[in-house]
Formats: sequence, structure tokens, C-alpha cells
Amino acid sequence: MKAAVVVFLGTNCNVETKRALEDFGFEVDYVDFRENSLQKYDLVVLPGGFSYGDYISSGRIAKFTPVIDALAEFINSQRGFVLGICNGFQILCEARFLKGALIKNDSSKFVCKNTPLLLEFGGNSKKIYLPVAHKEGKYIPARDSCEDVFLRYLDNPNGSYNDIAGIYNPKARIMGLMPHPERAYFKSSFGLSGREIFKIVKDEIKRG
Amino acid sequence: MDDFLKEQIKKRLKRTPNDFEYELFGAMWSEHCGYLHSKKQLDKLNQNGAIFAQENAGGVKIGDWGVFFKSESHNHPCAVEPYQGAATGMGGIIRDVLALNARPVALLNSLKFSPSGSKKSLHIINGVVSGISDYGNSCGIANVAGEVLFDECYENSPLVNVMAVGIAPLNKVKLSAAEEGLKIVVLGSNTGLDGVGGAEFASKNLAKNASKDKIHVQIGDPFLKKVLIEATLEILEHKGVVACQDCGAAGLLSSTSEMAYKGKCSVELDLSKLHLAQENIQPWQIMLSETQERMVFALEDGMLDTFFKIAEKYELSASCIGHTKSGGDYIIKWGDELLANLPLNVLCEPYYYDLEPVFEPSYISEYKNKVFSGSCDVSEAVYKLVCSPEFASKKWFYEQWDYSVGARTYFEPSKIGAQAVNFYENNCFLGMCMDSKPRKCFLDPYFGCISTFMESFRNLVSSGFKPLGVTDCLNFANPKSDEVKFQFVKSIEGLAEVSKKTKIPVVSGNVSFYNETKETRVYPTVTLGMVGVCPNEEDLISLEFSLGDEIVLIGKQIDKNSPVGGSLYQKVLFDFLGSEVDKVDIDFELKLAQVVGLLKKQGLIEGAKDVSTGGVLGALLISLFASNLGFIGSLLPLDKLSDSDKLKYLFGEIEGRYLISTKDKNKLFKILEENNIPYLHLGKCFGDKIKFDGYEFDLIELKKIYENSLGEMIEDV
Repeated sequence: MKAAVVVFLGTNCNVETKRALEDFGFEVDYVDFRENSLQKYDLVVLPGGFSYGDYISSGRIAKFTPVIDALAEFINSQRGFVLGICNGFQILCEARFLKGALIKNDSSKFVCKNTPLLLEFGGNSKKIYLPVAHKEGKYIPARDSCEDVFLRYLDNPNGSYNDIAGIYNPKARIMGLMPHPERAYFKSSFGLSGREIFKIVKDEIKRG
Repeated sequence: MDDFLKEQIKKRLKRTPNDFEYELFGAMWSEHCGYLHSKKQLDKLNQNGAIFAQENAGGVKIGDWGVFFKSESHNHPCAVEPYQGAATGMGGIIRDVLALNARPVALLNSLKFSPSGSKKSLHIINGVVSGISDYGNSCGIANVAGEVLFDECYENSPLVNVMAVGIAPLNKVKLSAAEEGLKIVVLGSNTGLDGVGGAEFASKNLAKNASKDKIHVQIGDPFLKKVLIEATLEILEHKGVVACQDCGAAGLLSSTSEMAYKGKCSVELDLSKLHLAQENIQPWQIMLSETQERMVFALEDGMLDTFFKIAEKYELSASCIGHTKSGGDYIIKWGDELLANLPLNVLCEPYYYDLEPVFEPSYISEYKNKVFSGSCDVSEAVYKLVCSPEFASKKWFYEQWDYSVGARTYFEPSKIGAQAVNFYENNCFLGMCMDSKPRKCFLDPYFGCISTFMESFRNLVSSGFKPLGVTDCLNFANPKSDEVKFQFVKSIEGLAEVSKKTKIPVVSGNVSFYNETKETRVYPTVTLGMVGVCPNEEDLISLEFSLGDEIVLIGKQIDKNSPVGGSLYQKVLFDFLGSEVDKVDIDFELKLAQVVGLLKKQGLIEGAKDVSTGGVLGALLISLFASNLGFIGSLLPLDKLSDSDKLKYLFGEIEGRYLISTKDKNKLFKILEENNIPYLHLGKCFGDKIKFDGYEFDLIELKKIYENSLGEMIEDV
């Protein structure tokens, strides 16, 4: 399976995201923000970081780059699966691929910690730990409707509505989450729960 | 610049410099750039085993890789503009590592603030912490470890020391020496008026009303820095790039002059070719501007096209501003107009002062002879110590810094002596920590400095690492004063001695003088950053204990007569500083480290913690909090003791000790006895109460105080 890791200026989690995906069996390319087609990939990942410094607000500038038009085509043509992690999730919301918005944490401070979460997917429910690292991670749902929630904080670090940490639109096959699965993937005391997220992604791609 | 230095310049130039040239000397012959008062002392340090110690950052070799690291201070800027001061401090140290073509993989910091809770001190704390947060997090380099200390002496002069660690294959390292016949190019920000004169500003005492000095503070742009890092690493991949320098203190001036001086050639620059942020900027301001996020390269002609293409790809500004040629001169022009023509060996080799001979200032024996007689109930002492800013958890700080980006960070910050950073390219882990003991250095600069070194050493050893090298960040007051001269010279002698004996070289460093105002003067603050290596994940040691573990104190044993001067409990509980500090026995420390390694290999260590701030009870509490475990046992001898003696046994700080937890205490004792290492079995990890010698504390309650007190102190005012 082929995966694209999109790199904007200011993206900074691309290396570890690529490493994790490769370890999980994907064939991975970095894709520049100037790229105008993503059709050869089964999975497109928008990794974490500070695209364009998150100036104005997070994801606000990244959504105007050519690769976002390519992503729209990728989604409209039902070509494959889209995963946004942290800044990637913020970009997906900014670009309206996912509903809702991510705003400044209640503490108005950046928060970095390994945090307990409830993963609920495909009828299974499980407590896992993943690191969060963000300043604008408080999720606010759109007024009309909410996407499916698959990941909730058990110790809400940012004031997110209903403890929402990750959402999924199964129809469009777009997933976004604030915690970093790629940081709980390799040898570390943070655990290996990140693999559970990548497994869901892989299973969903296979399911087609 | 004072008249004495002006005379020196004239004598060596054999002429009077013009005004523009004087500006250049003002920066290059400043303490900050020129190390005027420290150079002769720094030459005493041991660099045996270091690689590229003369470069922007030195390093150590691990296999075919170099690990480069350096620490730097940004004290003066943080005193007047804490947010930008801290941010650009990080920016500067990142570039030092980057210039070698090393990818920066970790940041550390050592911060010193006042515990006064004054409006000013809180402004500084909040500013520095969010400066590090906004800048470091955005750059995407994990902030993996560090320390925060509190003392009233830092009320007007906070100390902000930062360290960066980078990695590069040895055959890809780029040096900073240019050669004849190259082009000089500048990449990054448009040069503007920010930070003009920063180097000189950092080379004098802070004025009482320092707000007008804000003009000298640089402004950071973390987004641009992240882009600059990637662009620089791509440029340095090319063979046609001969040399690279970062634009730090004294900006374009120091970077281009040092490049040419090191490469034994002339450099000629035309300032009208440089990309600028504003009109109406004077040539001398261009030379001295400390605009952030700029790098300078010396390239072969054929490389220019590629260079500009890479700049365009990353949407960075760039310009070619000059060239190198044979000779030894520094030539600056604006179009055809000649502004300066100076011999590099005068510009880059300032006058170096002799600090010696030094004489012991009277305060040393005065403080040494002070008798400590403070006494209070042990329970009261435990509560007070646990919530004191210096001992309390630094959670409020490190949770604002991204310590996990890069997915290399092994431990959560609450669970480390030294942090482990996954160096997967080289199949090993790097260990790193930053430490300082200003009160001990004040009482005894020589042994205080050795004690600091040993704390870093033990932090690495207790986490499973072999220490490889150290970087020093020396923060002192005015070097013209006899007291400071003594403190500086003795600290250097201590560092030189311990580094030689342990064969751990000083690979890089930084000196910051003039950390004083009319009202306050900082303690001699030697901050050390040490790096080590551990080949396997299995050999890493956490400071966490497990249920049922037996806790054993190994190494030197404390008694009623042990010298414990400079211990934190004396300061926090009784506001006392004085008496003798314990002296390190380096040979014993080396032996002890070897035995810790042996015990780990035999599977006899579950968790380990070096014993330092807060003594044996301090170490025990930190480990129990991290493990969420209670304890039952005994920390005091059986004889009848006064409260004062009890405090000494529990909190007194002596050298040469580790706390370890084990599942097989008998086997452990046997090995310790065979190796002549003294030990004391303290007790067992059990339940949710901490019980010893008739005292009892609730783990959850005490941990809550430990974790929250600092945040409450900072945020509740």
C-alpha cells in the first residue's frame, strides 16, 4: 500500500510519521505542498507540526496550498483514506474536510503529556495512552452535526467538547486526531499504543 | 570600549581606526564575542577525546557518527525581554550545531529564577517559559531535559542557559574555515535593526532601568528557523560548500571574519548586495545586526546556482555578498566605497586579560566558619521541602515544552536522571542532562564545580549511560572584581581537574560575565551539560521502582560529622548558607560507577536514582512519586538523634551516593561487599504510605503538593 506524507513548510513530524508507516508496511513518499495530484496513493497523511508557523491560527495558511486541491480531488474521487494528526487534523478542519474546529486550549498554554484515552472503534473499546503536544487542541463541533467520535480523553488536557480527541467520517474515509500515534510507536516509555491507530487505518483501507 | 582597549588596537594596527572600524572592534573585542577575560583560563580545560572542539559546537565520536553539543547563555536579553530573549537563545544554540551539518535532535535548558514571587520575577518566569515553548515547539526539536533552580540572587539577573545536541555522520561534517577563491552567501531573514549591538550589551552590567536596552534584543521566528534548518542541511549535502557559519552574536561581522581568519585568507564584502529588512540602515548597523534566522556559507563558484535554487525551494531570501581571496584582511565596502580594511589577526584576536594571580576573598573563610544549628520537626521539614520551588516538580514547566516530537525521547521528564534519546541511525541511545550547583560553587568554587560535574556524571550513570563529554556554560558577575576572578579561576581549575581524571573532555562552552546589578550579584553558576551513550534499550535504567523492590543506598555513608554545606534543606528551611561542602573523591566515584554498571549487567537493578538535591529522602521521594508507590523502612541510625541531626541524615547532601532498587538484595550485598562499596538497606516499596522511623506520610497527598505547588506559586499571583 502506498502512503503520502504531506510536507508543508513548518511541518515537523514528517520523519517519525514516515518511519512508523514504513514499519507498518506502507510504501511511503514525502509529498511537497506544491504537488497537485495524490491519486497514486492509498493513504494520505497530514502529519503534525507548525505549518507556516501556525501564524494567524493553526492550519489557516496551509489550506491555501496546491496540495489541498489535490486532496479535495482525492477525497471526491473516493480514492483512499485520509489521516490528519495534530496540525494535520487542524488543517483538515480548517479546509472543511472534517466538521468542527480546533481552538486554543482552556489553559491557553501548550500542553505536552502522555495522556490516557478511550479508543472506541468497530464495536471494541479500549483504554490506551498517547502523547499529546499542542496549544490549539480544544475540539468544538459544528452546529449542524458531529462526525463519529472514535477517540476520547480520559483526562481532558485542553477542554475539548465531550472529551473529543479524534473523529472519523467513515463515508468520506477521513480521520483526524490530536494525539500523536507515531510517538507511541517506537522504543520508549510512552508505550506502543500508536500501533492501534495505524492498524485501524490499515484495516479501513483494506475494507475499501 | 574603554581607552585601554582603544590604545591596544591603535598599537597593533599602527594607525587610528575610522569610526566604522571602531564599531567593528567594539563588537569583536567585546567580552561576549572575544572572551577577553576568560580565554586564558579556558585554555586550561581538557579537550582530549573531543572532536572539532574549535568549531561552533564540539562533539564526541560514536562509531562513524559525531554527536555535537554546546550550551549557551542568553541571560542579559532575558532580563530585559524574557520572551524574545529565551526564544532567540534557543535559536542561537540550534544554529551552532546546525553549522556543522548536524541535525539538531534535542534541546535542554537550565533556568535560574528568583523565588520571591515579585511581579518582576513572575514576568520573567512566564516570559522565558513561553518563549522556549513557542520557539522550541514550533522548530520541532524536542526539549528533553533540564533543570530549574531558584535563589534570590537571580531576582534581577535570571540565568537562561540552553543546550542543543545534534548528530552527523563524521564524513559529512562541515567546518567553519573558508579558503581562497570562494563566494560568500547569506541565507535567511532580511537583515534589520533588531539586536544591533547585542554582543556589547551582553558584555556589561545590567543598568537599573534596562528597558531602553530592549533594542539590543533579537527577535526570533521559529517558523523561519524550521525552514532554515531544512534548507541548510540540504545545502550542506553538496561538495561545493566549503564552510558554514551561523549568524549569532555580532551577526555578519563575527561569522564572516572568523570564517576567513580560520581559513587563513582575506574576505571582501559589498554590503550593498545584502538583502535588507529596511532602508535607512547604516552599514555599521548591518555589520552588527543580530537579526535571527540567518546562515552564512562559503561556496565554490559552481555551487551558486544550486544554492539559489534551494533557497527558492524553501522560499528563503538569499544573496551573494562577497568573496575570499589570498591574504589576511577583512575588507568591507558599500559599492565602490571602502569602509574598512583590517588585518584579521587584530580583529579576531582581542586583548586577553590575565585573571591571575587570584587571592581568596574573605567571604570564603567567613562562610566556611559559619555554624549551622537549624532544627525543626521532620514532618514539618518534609512538607516544606516538597513544596519549595527548587525541589518541587517542574511539571508546570516541561508540560509546556514539546519533549516528545521526533519520537526519539525515551522517558517522561518526571522519570529521569538523564534523558535517553533514541539515536536509531547509530543503533544506540544518547543520554543527556544539565546540572548546576550555584550555592556550592559560591562556598567553594573548586569543589563546587567538581560536585556539579559529578552530579551530571551520576545522572548519566544512574540512567545506564557511559558519560562521554561535557559542555560548560559559565555564568559569573563582573570579571574586574577580585572576588569574581577568584571564583572563575577556581571553577575552571576544578573543571579541568575532574575532566582530566574522568577522561570526559570539555567539548564546547560559553562564558557569560556581568550577571549583576547594583543590588544583586549572581552566585558563580557553572552549568554543565553532559552527554553519554548506552548501546541497548535493555541497559537503560529508569528512576522508577516496582512493588516489592528492596531499596538500597550505595556509596558513601553520611554521619553526624559529614560536611553538608550548600544543602538545599538549610536554605529552604532556615535560610542558611555556609559551612563546609563535601569534597568529591573522583577515584571512588569512578569505582562506584563501574559497580553500578556491573550490578545492572547482573540484573540486580530495577530502578536507580542519584542522590543529590534533598539528600537521601529527597531522592527516595522523587522515585516513589514517579512510581506511585509507598515505602516502609528506616532511613536513620538507631542511636538517639536530635532533630537537627535527623535533618542532616535525611536531607544532607554529600557526594558519591546512589539509591537503587532490587529484587535480590542478598546477591546485591554480596557484590557490593566484594567490591568494597559501603551500602545501607533502607526498606521496601509497598502500599500507599511512606513510613520510616516513626514518621508516616500519605503518598497521594504528598505527591499532589509536590506536583502542583510550583504552578500555584507562579499562576496564583
